[in-house]
Amino acid sequence: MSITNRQGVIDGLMPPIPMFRGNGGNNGAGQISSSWASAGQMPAGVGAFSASLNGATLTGPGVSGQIPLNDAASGERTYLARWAHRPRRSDLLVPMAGILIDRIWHNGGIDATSTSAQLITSPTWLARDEDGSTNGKGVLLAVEIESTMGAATPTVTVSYTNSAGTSGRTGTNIFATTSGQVAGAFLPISLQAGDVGVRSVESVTLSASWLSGTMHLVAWRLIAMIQEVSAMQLVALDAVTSNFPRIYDGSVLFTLGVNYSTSGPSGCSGEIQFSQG
Amino acid sequence: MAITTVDGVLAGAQPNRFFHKAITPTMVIARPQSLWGLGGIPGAGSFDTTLDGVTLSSTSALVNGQLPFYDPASGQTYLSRFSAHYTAGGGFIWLADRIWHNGGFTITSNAAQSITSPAWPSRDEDGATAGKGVLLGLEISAVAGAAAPTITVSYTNSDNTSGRSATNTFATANSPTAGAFFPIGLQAGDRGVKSVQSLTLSTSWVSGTMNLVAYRIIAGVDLAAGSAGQVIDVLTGNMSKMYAGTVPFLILAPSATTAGYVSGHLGVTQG
Repeated sequence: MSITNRQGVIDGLMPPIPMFRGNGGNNGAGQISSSWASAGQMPAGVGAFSASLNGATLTGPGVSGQIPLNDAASGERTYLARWAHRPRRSDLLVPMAGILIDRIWHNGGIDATSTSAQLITSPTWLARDEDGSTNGKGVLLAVEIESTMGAATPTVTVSYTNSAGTSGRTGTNIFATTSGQVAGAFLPISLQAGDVGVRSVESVTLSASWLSGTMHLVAWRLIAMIQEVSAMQLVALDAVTSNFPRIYDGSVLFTLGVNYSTSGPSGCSGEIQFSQG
Repeated sequence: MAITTVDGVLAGAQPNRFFHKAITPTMVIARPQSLWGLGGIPGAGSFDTTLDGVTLSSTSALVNGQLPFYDPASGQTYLSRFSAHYTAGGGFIWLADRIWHNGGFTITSNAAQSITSPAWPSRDEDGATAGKGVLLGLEISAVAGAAAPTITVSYTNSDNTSGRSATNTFATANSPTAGAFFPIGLQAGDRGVKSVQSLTLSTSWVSGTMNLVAYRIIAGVDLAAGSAGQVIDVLTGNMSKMYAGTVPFLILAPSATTAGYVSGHLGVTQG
């Protein structure tokens, strides 16, 4: 089954889930910060990281740090029905954007001081690409910082297999890295021309030692995005205005925030609601 | 078939797709900047090298550089969500369908360079090949030299009248960087371009590489406040049709000259 009309959305509404969470550190205007490992009242729990290069796929419910979401009943599907998001900032002056994503895989154990290719054999993704398959269509990569990096600005190059099964593809960090990149920084990795997603990861290489700190790779997929048009304004999406994204069983949802200034850490509050049917 | 109800929008919703580009060249305030050739998400687009150029379609395979777009199994595709922000300032971001582009110009020549463009795919504003709503722009793909020529294009309009001509609406300047995008005007009374016959520079542009692009605007968002993003959805975006084969790309008219990042997402519904 699937939901194909407004009555179906209403019939399948789940209870709203309050959200109040930090977004990690702020690395500068335009940078993206992850809420994964930030403390917050809701949802409860702080996201953990993998410590192995090959990493681990993530399946909810019950993953610490994720927005709580139970799988749909047999034969039913889950959709985003409402997401209200308000950035909170210490300076209260500058708007930002919120990004709701599914965390599919993450790894760890990356030697931040090495400039050699560090080999990765990622497991098969879960069937949560944009088609509900393991191919990786719409699945993207990012570098996520767990603890502050050293005073260097390496380029991060990732070798991957694309969603069509072509290996040897490469991408690099789109945001330039910064010296002393702080915990919570989330740096998307580019796609090679023609690619629409990532099926697996084969290696990560730093162009120079990052001296210290802890970094991870994350495979993720966009669910929805909110643009804040003014500071401290709550913006809400609903089933119609969000484009009614489907959320596959096992999804591990959490939020990112885009910082528009360098001042202060940011976070968000709001609520999220799903519909199943 | 067509989507005519809100329920139809819900039933046909497709996955939202993320884009994210670092804009590295120095820009000119308000002068459009194409993001086609930039890496990021998606990866960089490439350019044609022939004067007659090539039409572009995503039907058989996506074109390098385009935002992902897939033809519907049946029915039509409509824009249902488009958001963007530019971190270095405000401005305006267009979502456009890249229909044709060419290359192979002698950028030092001030003679008319003849072009026999192929028939457009059926993606004008009526879903036809006539060119209604199809516009032209000159895109720099490698920094041009220290000169500021006027660009004149001879074309056939969407009513099939040949011998029409127009020039760049935004003045050229010395050494425009890769991505600089100079829209070409329309002769009075015209509503679009069916084909292109020639391009003439008033003077040599000294060096660099330029390309002509035929495109159609699907939607735009006004980044009214500095660094603030903006969104249109199925209710506020006029449900623009995106015809089979559409090759979506982005053009930014910035309010600042500094490098920054453009991020956002695109959603469509089909039915």
